[in-house]
Amino acid sequence: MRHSLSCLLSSLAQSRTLSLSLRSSPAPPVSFFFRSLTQRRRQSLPSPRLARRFAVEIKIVRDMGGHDESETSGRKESEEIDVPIFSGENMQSNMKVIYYSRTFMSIIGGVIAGILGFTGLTGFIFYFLVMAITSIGLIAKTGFSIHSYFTSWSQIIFDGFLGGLLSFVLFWTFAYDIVHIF
Amino acid sequence: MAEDLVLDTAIRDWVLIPLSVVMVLIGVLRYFVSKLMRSSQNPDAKLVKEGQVIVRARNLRAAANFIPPKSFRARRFYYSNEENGLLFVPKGQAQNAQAQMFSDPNMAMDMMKKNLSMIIPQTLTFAWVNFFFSGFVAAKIPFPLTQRFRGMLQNGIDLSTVDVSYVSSRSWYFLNLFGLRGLFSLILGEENATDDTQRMMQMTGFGFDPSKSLGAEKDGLDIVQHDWTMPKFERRAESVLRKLVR
Repeated sequence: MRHSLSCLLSSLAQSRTLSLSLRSSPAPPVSFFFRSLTQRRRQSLPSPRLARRFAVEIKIVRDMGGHDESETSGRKESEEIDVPIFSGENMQSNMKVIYYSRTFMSIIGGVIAGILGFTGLTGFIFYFLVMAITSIGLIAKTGFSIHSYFTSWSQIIFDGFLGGLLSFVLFWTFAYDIVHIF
Repeated sequence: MAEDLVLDTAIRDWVLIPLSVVMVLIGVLRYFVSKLMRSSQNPDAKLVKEGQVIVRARNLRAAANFIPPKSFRARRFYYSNEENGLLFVPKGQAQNAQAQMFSDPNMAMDMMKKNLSMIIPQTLTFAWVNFFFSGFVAAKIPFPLTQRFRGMLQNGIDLSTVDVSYVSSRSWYFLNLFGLRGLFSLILGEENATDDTQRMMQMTGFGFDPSKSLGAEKDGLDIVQHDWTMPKFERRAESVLRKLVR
């Protein structure tokens, strides 16, 4: 009886009606709930092989929980169930990494544009090219799994796009003048 | 119109580079001076307590789905209770706090100090540039601009046939002013406060009304629909295990 009830609950979990029923019905005593959970777990482990894998899986998860050099994985999300767990300071530090990379690349890009003698529109196209290269580099740094580091595509591509423009223009003018005019 | 002026190398040596170097150094100096002059404010215990209460309420709202419904409801009642809930502030007290904050002499002094440390170097440098470096072409900007910018960029040059790309040193000063912000954020870290807009945001943060934020947190907490995710975590564990088995 308990097993079928918990199976029913779990099958309902896929549909939206489960949340409604949980709110309207009185909450079951906690001990009963936990007992049913443990019972179900024991029944769903058919063989000792699966138990060993379970232990291995925990170890793997702990190893992957370490930090990268510059970017820290900020989000964990399961495939079927959407339970976003954000780590606020990781996400903030990721945004700072994007900002610093873009500023640095815009300065370097400005110097390059000045030395190569770009004028007018060519220079601004070069600026967008440099920003695109920065975006591709950042995406490659995340290992092409954007969603474990940022909330959305737009953050890593468009954030701080125009922030480096003034620094770019400054260093572009500087290098251009030093090399070409004087 | 588009003839190439030949400019003296001395301009590059004695105008462009010194101006940039001076602005970088002044920025660094201002950063250190503001760090030294930041008087240690004794934080008001009441304000700190209210801030921490807000942070706790926010954490509860964010992680509400990970605790059982009954404990969530108990915590929510603790915060938004009518009689002695932490987030419930009667209207009369709220106005007092705000008025007191603005007339606090210490805070006014700090704001004045921040203002001064920002404005004085800029004014001095601008006056210096105007006095020494006016009346000649300083640089050529690599992109063309329309004639309407002529008055702004070529203020010391009185020839009207010179290309607008050839600018005076005042515009080089402004270009430096805006462009070196990025550089300062790289070499000085985050707390450089060389940006005017950042400073404005910091100043409005001081005049923050605590009762309004408390009320906002209370409303946010009341809105939260509790959806306990622990039952679903079993399915998640099962799916992860299945993937490993295969």
